[in-house]
Amino acid sequence: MAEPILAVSGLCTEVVSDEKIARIVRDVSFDLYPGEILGVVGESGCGKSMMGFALLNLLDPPARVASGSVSFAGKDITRLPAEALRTIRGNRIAMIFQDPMVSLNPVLTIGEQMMEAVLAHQKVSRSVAKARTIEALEMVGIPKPAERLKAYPHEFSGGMRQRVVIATAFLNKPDIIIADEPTTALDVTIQAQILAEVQKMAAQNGTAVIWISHDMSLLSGLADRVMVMYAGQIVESGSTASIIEQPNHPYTRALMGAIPVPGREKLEILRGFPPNLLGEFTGCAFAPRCPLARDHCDLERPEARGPELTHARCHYPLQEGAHS
Amino acid sequence: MSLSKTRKSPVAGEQEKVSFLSSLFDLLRRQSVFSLLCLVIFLLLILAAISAPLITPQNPYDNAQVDFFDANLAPGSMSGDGRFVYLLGSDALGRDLYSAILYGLRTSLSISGIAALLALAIGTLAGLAAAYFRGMTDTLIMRAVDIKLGFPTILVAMVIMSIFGAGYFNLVIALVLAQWPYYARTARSVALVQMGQEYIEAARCLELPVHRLILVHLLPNSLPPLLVVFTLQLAHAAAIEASLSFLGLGVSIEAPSLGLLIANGSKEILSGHAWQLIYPGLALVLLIFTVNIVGDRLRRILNPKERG
Amino acid sequence: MSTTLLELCDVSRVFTRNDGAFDSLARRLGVGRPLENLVAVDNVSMVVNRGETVGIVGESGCGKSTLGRVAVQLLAPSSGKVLFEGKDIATLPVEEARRARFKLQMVFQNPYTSLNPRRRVGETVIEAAVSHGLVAKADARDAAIKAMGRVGLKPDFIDRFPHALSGGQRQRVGIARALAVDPACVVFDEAVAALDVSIQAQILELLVELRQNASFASVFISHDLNVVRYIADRVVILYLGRVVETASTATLFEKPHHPYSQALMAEAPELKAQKRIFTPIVGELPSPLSPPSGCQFHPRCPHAMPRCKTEQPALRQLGDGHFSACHLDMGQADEKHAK
Repeated sequence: MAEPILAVSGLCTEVVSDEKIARIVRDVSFDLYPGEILGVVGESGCGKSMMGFALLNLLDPPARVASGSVSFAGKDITRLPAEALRTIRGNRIAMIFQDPMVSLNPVLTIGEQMMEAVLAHQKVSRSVAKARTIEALEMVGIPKPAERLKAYPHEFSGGMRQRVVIATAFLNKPDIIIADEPTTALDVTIQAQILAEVQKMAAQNGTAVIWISHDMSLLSGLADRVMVMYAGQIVESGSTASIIEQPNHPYTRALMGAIPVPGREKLEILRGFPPNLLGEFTGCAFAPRCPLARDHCDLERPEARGPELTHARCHYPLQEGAHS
Repeated sequence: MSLSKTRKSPVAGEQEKVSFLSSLFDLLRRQSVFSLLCLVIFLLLILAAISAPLITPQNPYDNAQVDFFDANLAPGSMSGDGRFVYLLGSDALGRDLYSAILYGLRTSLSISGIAALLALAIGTLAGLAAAYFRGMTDTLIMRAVDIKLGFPTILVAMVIMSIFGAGYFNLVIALVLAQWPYYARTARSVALVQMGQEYIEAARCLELPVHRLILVHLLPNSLPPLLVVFTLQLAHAAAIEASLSFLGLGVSIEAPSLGLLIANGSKEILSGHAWQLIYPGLALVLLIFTVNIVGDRLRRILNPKERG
Repeated sequence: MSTTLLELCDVSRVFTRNDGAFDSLARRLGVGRPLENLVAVDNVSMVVNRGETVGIVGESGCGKSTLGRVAVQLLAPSSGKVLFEGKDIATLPVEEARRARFKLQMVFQNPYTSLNPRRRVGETVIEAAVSHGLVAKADARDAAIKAMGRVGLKPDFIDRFPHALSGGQRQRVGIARALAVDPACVVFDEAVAALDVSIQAQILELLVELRQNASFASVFISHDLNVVRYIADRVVILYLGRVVETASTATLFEKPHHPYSQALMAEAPELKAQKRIFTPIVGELPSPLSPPSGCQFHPRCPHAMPRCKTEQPALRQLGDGHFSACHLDMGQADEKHAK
């Protein structure tokens, strides 16, 4: 396999407030390869969004990266000075947020903002920038893009705005796109359009994608590999197919069991809430909600088990149990 | 603030009451020590106005207690009968200025306080009704508001006072008539936002009676910005009261009022008795200034966009 | 007692932009811009039978929320009738109409704005029942605890404020509030759309359970086909305010007839172990301010014929309770129906 384009190792983030420290992301490590679509899935509050922000060093106080490294092209993003970060963000790594208005400036036209994004990072003429902007808008399925350049964000519907943001992310043909639930607020029809474009982008340009979502059914059609997050940790990771067919972690199985797929008579219900992230866990973070927890689970923290790309952080993984 | 009539656990209700003032202190302290200081000074002014008869050496509006021979004494002079010191001097009629200022504060604060509260109640109800019923009610109420807002408040108050004549209650009425539109406008705009919220739709779905919907659901959620308007209008009312009294259109000529004191003081300025103008003026400035600062900081606290 | 509980007959709802006195004066003088009419719901007829769950599916802007609000009388229909137990609510005497409306309740989408932030959970749940005399004031607290228990909320939530609750718990409060007044029909407007998958599952299971034990009919509005498929007995698919297809859930998902229904189903996410190629519907959802002529779906339809541009297809019966508004394979369908 090729060299990873992004190598995350031991990433921890925390939020400090009133002498309390909430450890939101706990020791996350993974590699991302060119052209790969990596899904990150978990309930809200599991730290998946904050991990996305940390990858780009976008955390603002009181949140911060506590330890670990994110190495991109031989440099550790978490330690880069602001100036060097700016040349990477939006150019080689692009981020798409859930709310498109976070990324759009309401007083500039779509064309101005998008061309600005090109001109800020590349030495090209305005006409080239314009041509690229139109091309990118076309790609995300915006009709008559040349005319739409003069429109302001408020003249677009929510779905159109999100597509503009996604087109902006595509503009500089980045190496990595980090997408944080960008289609949650969109209709399935528009979501399908965007997913199709992302797949194309990954296949044609070798763009690596990290797609954060709470919906495993969305990721199942999109991602090559899936990481399941719970309480700031990656509790299971593996190829999408293996995770869907043979989940190892009870949490993964519960997440999928909650989706109303055709033919399912009863949905699996996960009782309780994600744990408090203030302290250290004495045992498995999922044990209090786990239907299969045994005494041992409360006492010892499970380490990630299994081959490098497929592992589960569980004392009694489901598949192993099934085989023995 | 206990706005609902249904039962609630006494413990939780208690907690809320205790925390209201202390949380106000806490919020202001976070904004700045200065704004907290202003709140304290404002509360002290109210306290001084309420307890004026207890902490002043004389009632300057009781002729039996005023010694005409002590007229125009400089600050710090001993009174003729040797009973007390004129801390801030005395005026042309021999009244203790310190006492007169506190009695004047009493009048000014009570007039502006009562007027602001009445205007708050009337304006808020009008604004909520406009937002709730829309249509004709809305048009009528808001056009009345627009007409009023087309004229300067002081002019409206002056016209009303010159029709009804000077006096305590006429002044209150004039202030209420001049100020209710500000509350109505704010109440309407806040309530319109609330009307779009799903909990109001839910209440309509549940066929709750209109008065309940407005008073129990709409009002409490529209109140915070109105409290800000209230503080700012309170300061404004105090200023208008003083201005009108200064012009002789306010309280009757023998009543205590900061505006009248300032008017009298201004006549003495050329005689070299500057303290008769300066101290009442300072008292009025302090009152208006502290109320304004408190109101302004409240606005910042309550408006998340300005929190930064 | 007939099986039909609630019936919408040719209901339309038009929104007119309120552009103020100046514009309306200008228009009267013949110089202003014409009024812009947004037809959110266009001649929709549907029936809700006692005890059944009807799903309404469509993209955002298709009028499904408006339709739900017309059904519970939060919005008056611009034309058409809403019949409750066979009686037109609009023509009932005031008090009777109020009682009818009271029997129609709604659960809202946004768990954060659908509860009054300054009222405690117990008050929110039981307020209406007390106000209407269903529950004596003295029994309010017990009744609130009981109503909360039905939706799985513990009694100690009774004195909490909404901000101390999670999204799923708030949504339970919303459901408890609607059910506390013993409604005949509850409209769930995207009631699980704002929730995480795991919380969504909890609420869906709760609804299934409630429906087994209680006798209310429900209308479940959602953009999520999988959710509707799970919960509904019958499904209505809307496109730009019109019904394009309606059938029992089983029939519709097995044999969707309308090209729009088929496209929606092709795009719904599935939990499958293989990557898929997403094949989106071409084109944009047209603006409801200027909908296309004829069949409104024709600009995006892969099977569009010349006739589709000019002639609006009527709902046509394909089978038992299965209707579709499409010109396609009319002959075949008629044959099938004839059999």
